[in-house]
Amino acid sequence: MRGQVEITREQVEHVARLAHLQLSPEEITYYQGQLGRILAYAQELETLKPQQPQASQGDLNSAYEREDKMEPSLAAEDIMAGAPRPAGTAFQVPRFVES
Amino acid sequence: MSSLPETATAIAAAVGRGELTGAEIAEAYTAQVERHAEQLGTHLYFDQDDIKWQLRELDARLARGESLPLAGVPVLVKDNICVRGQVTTAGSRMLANWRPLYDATAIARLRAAGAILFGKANLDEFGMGSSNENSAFKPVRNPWNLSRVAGGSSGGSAAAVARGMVPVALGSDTGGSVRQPAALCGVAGLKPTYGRVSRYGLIAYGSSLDQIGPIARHVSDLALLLDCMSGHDHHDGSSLRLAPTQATATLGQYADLHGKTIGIVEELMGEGVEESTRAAINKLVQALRDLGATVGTLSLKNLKYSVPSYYLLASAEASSNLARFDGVRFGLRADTRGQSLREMMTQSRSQGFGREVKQRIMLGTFALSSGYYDAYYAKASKARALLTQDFGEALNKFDFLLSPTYPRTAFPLGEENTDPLALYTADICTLPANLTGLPALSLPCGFDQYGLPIGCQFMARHGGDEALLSLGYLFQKNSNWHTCLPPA
Repeated sequence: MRGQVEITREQVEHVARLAHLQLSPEEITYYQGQLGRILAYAQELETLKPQQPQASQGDLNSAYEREDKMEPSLAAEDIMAGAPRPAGTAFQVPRFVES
Repeated sequence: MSSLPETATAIAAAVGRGELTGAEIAEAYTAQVERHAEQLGTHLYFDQDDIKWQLRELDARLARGESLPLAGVPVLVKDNICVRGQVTTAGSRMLANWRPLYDATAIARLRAAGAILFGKANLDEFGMGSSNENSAFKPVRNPWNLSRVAGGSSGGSAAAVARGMVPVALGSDTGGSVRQPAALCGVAGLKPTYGRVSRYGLIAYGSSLDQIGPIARHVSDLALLLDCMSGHDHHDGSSLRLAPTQATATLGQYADLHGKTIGIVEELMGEGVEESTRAAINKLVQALRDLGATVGTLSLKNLKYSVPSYYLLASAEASSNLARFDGVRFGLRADTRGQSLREMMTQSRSQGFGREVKQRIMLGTFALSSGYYDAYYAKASKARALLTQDFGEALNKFDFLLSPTYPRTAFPLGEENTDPLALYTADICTLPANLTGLPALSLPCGFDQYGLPIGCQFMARHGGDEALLSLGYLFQKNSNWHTCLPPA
């Protein structure tokens, strides 16, 4: 249906890098095909007429902001209990500033 | 089972009056879970000790004279909705061992109403899929035919209700994920108006589209659950500032459909719709006319944009929402000792996410990336605004819109899980309700030649959840599709 948009391996790798994903060569080939097919289908949007839609919806919920007040929050030790590598009340991660 | 009340409404009434105990109800449904859950793949978590603890709480509250609208009602919860202390995986390896520290608002309200949380249901990973084959753990099988899919992404919830493992379940619906599995499993499912039910504690997929919704056999049970879960919640910025619905009180508001107009969406009855499904909808039209409704047809010219618009917008939102899974604060962290922070994050995400989730993250990242934003994201947003306008106008002319829920009945497992377009384009009937925020209800309305259930979908005006449920209630009073059970 509607063919395929040409997506290069480099484009797939670029998008994967932006998304913090590492792909195997097989996965790059796979997603090259998948994204190409989906984006070809999305070309349908090119036929949208330049008319402007009227503003709509949201009328049940116009610009609500909650009151700015303190609420009880979760205990730090409970949050740390679910951390992959806790260090006291800190999340330990690999060094990212060179000494 | 046969001696126990079948609906949530009747269970709550019987337990509330002291005619039955929560424990008796739980025991009967536990037996069904033990009998069917493994074969169907419906459950990801079921903790009998926790259920016993909840039952003791319930007894104590009833003894104090509390009046509880869901007293003793077992509710299965889709596993992307946070239940305090219970493993909540979202169907992903990323969260395989994650226990939330808090209840979603919908869950807190169900607990307050006396419901018994009865396990966590299998789903497509992070809600992404329409066959429940994208669960990182196991697929869900359709109780009507074990070689067929249950639909998705709330496949575990729908299949468990259809098989009688619970009277009611929660799903979430971003592009049809409550309604489509409900249709494929022969039960009813409601996608409420966007903002009716708080999204607080629902693991986000597409935040502008996501909505928690109930699944049950009986529309009266959908109404009961919606009444208990809905209402403004300041923890969710998109929550409507409205009181809880009064759907149960207004269920019987239509004695018939005289004076009501129903529009059939032409584009959703044409090419691609199975003949048996079209025939079932046509029969339904006659039944609606017999009830006094005026049924007409309408054409929605921008409908063709709904699939590309949805997949770009939902994926863009997913790429942003799922950025939080980086191995730092919770969830899976890959073992990358000695490597950089970036390497740790990249490896954690690459190991934690499944194939479809990676696909949507990359599609969304692409649609938002420099040089492509205007061509994809901006255009998709514009198509969404046009669709919202079109549906608004259509619902000025008609009280309700009617279409199939899905163009076909449950398909064989493994059939469509590699072609993205075959599955994506089939979502065309359900996507508009999410893009426009409108409420939509799927009801069983027949069977195909293989004995597989067919679902129909009604849509109503923004905020018209009660009217929609009243229509469904009247339909169920005048039909018996919802009483048909899958073969033993």
